[in-house]
Amino acid sequence: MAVSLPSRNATARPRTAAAPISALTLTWLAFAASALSACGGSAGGETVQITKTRLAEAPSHVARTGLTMLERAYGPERVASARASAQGNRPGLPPSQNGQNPLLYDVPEGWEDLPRAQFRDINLRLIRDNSAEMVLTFLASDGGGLVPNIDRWRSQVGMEPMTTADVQALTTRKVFGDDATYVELFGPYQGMRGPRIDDGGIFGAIFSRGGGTLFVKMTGSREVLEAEREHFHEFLSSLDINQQARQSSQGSNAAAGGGVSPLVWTAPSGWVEDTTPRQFREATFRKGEIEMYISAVRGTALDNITRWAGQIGQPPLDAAALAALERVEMMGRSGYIYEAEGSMRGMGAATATPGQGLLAALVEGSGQIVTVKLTGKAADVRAAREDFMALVTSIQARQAGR
Amino acid sequence: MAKKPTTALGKLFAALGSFWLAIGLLVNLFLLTWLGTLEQVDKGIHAVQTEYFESWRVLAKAGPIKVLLPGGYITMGLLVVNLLIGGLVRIRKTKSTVGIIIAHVGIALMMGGGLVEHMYSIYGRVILYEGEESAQFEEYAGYEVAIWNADSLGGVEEFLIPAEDFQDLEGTKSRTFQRAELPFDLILKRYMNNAELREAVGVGVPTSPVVEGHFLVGKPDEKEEEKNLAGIYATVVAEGGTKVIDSLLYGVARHPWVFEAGGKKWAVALRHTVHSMPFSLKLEKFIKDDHPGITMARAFSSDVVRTDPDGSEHPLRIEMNEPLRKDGYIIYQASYGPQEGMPGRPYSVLAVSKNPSDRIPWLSVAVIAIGLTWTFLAKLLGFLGKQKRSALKAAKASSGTSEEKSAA
Repeated sequence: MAVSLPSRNATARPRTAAAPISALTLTWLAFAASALSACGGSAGGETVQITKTRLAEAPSHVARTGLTMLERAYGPERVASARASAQGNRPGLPPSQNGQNPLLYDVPEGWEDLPRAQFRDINLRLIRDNSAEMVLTFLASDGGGLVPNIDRWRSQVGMEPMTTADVQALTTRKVFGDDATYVELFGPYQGMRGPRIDDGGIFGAIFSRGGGTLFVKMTGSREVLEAEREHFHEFLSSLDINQQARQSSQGSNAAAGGGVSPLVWTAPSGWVEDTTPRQFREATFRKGEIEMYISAVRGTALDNITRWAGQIGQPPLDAAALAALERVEMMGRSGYIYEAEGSMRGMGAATATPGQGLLAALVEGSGQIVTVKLTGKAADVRAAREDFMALVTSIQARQAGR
Repeated sequence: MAKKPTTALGKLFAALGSFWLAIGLLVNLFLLTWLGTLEQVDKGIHAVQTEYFESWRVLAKAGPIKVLLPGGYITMGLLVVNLLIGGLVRIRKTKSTVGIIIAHVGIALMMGGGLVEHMYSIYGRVILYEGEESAQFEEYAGYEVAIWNADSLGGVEEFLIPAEDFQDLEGTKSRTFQRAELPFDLILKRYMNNAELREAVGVGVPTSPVVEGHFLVGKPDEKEEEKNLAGIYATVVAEGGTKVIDSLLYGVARHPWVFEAGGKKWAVALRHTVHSMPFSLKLEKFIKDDHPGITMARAFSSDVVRTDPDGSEHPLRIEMNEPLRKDGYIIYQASYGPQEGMPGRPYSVLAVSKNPSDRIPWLSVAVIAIGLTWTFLAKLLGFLGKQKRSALKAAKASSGTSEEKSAA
């Protein structure tokens, strides 16, 4: 910066007076020139020779083939790990562990809310026409991709896969305040099950968040779909996060800690409920020296029953032994009954207690299990079997609908 | 006595060196700094620095209105010219202005150093696990597209496309890159300075073309430039145009895009620009000194071995305030990992800077100090001399009056 002082002599005065005009003009000339020069620029499309090279001591990245783009970006191990940990947790949505539906929704008028089933996290059926369904499915992954899934739906109504123009023409509807791809497809509908509907169709929405994907579709005859369009839209708009499920999943044992259990059951008569909060227990009942409790945790049937077998001094189970176990209808699914007698070693106990019995029921789904376990003297356990089975068959998931 | 310029060239010369131009430019510099600082809250330092100072003009935001101002290039460029003409050429060359001229030389040196740093400096980092050795570092923010033969083992020749060759390729604008050694053309398009890689599932209508079930979504730039993850669409055209492969290149890449062309496997990656150093560094040991009783670092340093091109090895320690200086490179101890409480092997993060004008600020400040000291001393001595002369004159006058009175 020039800090030369203006001359104090008389001859300098005209110079400094004239200078601002020139200086200002000069600045703006430069400014205008730069503005004009910035107006140019390449329109692209040209061919450029690569001139820069470098001899590297080793490749900066390890080349691997057969990877998806996500795997290339983050590494296949990390992607696999993220997907594995997302199973049952449905990224972006509250976990559905403990049997509680992670979503709230309004059942449209004229529709009935059926129990959840595999790949049917919300399962609605039209009362006046049982061939019409509204189903919501969560997947902790991409489920194969947007276009392949829409193409799959299109194939179910006899349509060809989408062209690029079709993809560009896709529309959206708001779900959870965000855009979900929305389609209405008509044609002879043939789903995974059920009869063919000659003049049928699919209304569907696909929504993704945090790596998990939610598919909602309404299927039925064209007449039904047209008539129920508004109900379907209302259903989509009504979808909301079940904050209670979120809280119950965030706490390790909300029910035992005094929160609302995701399960409901009928307490066995003659038993006293022990309301002391216990981790991993939804409810505990006692009668004399025997104990029966309900638990809802993550895990698999084989792992848990094998653990129980170890506690009672029995050999571990393999898949064949698991398949051979007695079955029971539990929460609308087929559960396992495991019964054994022997020396019981409780968690952390140094010695085993002989003459003990263990009767347990377990139902699994989506990486979660609900168990009922009865333990005590072998004779007492055998005598309490009827109460046990009554409790097992009474357990239901708490309804999440509003 | 300065003469009034009469010719157009003379008037231009006078205008360029005028005091009023200096005032105007300094006012503009003040406005750029002030408004830029205010806008930095929303945009981040890098974006504002680029928009306000590394630019020819700027549409500065002054509250609800926008003001078109000359950018840093014009302002500082004219300031240098003004300084050279007004402060060095046109200034009166007298004994009293020697200090000012020296100070102006120092300021010009500082601004020249700034220009050199702006044009030629490189900043980056090298991450070393214990036992690892590297002779290269990567920039914090700048990107490049690198192509190499994926079949190569060990040393490999990389073909590099610098960011300035593709960062203008927004939207459908494309550019084809060729090299005689490469049996394919690489077409780049749809560059995004900050992007997110998404799987094309249930996300509404993809805003960009879907390639192998994935697409890139542009996002607003992050306030911290190094947090931006660039992305670009790439197409390889090989075998006379009969083989066309599309892919996406994303700033986060554990593995490159690999494809076959000309009977070989090739790898392409969008990565932070990598630079070689004329020596290698091997991390022998990372040392972290914690505060008593907690795992928070009080100090941390790296014991490294520097291997020069002649093969000589030099064990040394790089500490937080004691960087390694070698061949124009300065290597600082910047960070480490894993952070407190996290599992994993310890590693050291060394910041690397290559700034040819690294020492210029010191030198220019010293020159300015000499100039100002000279000026102040000259003023002081002049003042003292004047005082002395005045005192002598007064004394002389006083003694003369006394003599007259005595004589009377």
